[in-house]
Amino acid sequence: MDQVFIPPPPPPPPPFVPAPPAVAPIPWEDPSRPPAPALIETVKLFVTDMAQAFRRMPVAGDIGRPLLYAVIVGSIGPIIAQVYSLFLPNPIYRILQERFAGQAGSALFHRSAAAGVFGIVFVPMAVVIGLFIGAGIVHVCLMMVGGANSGFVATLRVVCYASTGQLAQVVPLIGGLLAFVFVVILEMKGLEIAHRTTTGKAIAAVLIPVAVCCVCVVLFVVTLGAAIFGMLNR
Amino acid sequence: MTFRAPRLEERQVLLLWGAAAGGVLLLGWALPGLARFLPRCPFKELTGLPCLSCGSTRTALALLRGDVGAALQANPLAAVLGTGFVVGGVLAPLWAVLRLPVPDALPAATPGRRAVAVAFLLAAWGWQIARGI
Repeated sequence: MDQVFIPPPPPPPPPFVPAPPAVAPIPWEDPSRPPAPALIETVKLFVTDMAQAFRRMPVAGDIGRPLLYAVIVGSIGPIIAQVYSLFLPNPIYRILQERFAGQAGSALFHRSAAAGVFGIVFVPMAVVIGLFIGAGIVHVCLMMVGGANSGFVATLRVVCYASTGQLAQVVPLIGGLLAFVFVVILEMKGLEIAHRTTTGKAIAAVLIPVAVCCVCVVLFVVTLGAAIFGMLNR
Repeated sequence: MTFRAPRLEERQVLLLWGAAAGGVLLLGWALPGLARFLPRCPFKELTGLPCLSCGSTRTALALLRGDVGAALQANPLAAVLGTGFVVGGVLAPLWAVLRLPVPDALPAATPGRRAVAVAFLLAAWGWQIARGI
């Protein structure tokens, strides 16, 4: 007797698994939002929850918005610091004036309104230069430690949004140091998330240039800090 | 290695390179005045040895004068990187505007290549130490 082939019943359909909700981009990257509130909300997000902010940051695509963010936010702190220097006595300049008194060019350390205005005008240009060179150095270091998984644009975006830390320069006298520390922390967290790398590699990528190339600057700042405290205690 | 037309963000990066190099050249006029006030290298003051970046200011000043020989003498690594940055900054915007092809992917940073890069940097530092810059 011929056997009749009965096909097996089709497998049941897989259970419905809802797609994970799409993560909303940071407000500044949402073109539907008005720029000023989006800028303020983005700054708040990076200050209050940097990990979430970097998770919501796109790692590729148009870099116009991140650059504009960096130029705006990264200029505010230094410009306010320049304005401070016009009205507040700066101990660093006082030390430099004493050290180089009578030497050619020492007038550079006698702050004038013209010098302050010069500094304010050139801050945005310095921000652009610093972004490109800073991102390049950090990305090369990230490649050297084996953590560059998302390309240079991701690093550039992280460096752009890490300039949120420059806002700390609005704090008189110690604002520069605070801003440096804040930017370094933001860059570490941003690289870790954007490049899907380990915390150690992100830390190494940010601190290698500080340790290797900028060891002179760090030692100079420490020496200057000690001198300032010495003067203040006198 | 394969090549393709640059994407939007790559053209933006090339334009940014040009802007950064142009900014450096524009602000470069102030460097000779500022350079005399830069402190001596604290690392060298403390240890007696030059750091990797010792001589970079002299290199920048020499490059601004167009004296490539003096720049290479002061810090070869900084001279090569500085020249590459400026020359690349001139070419990069043209590359972006003309949409010339770019590599499809950069070479992977394999452990071997990373080791070579680290060895190169250490060699550059050793060269500075050996010459007593």
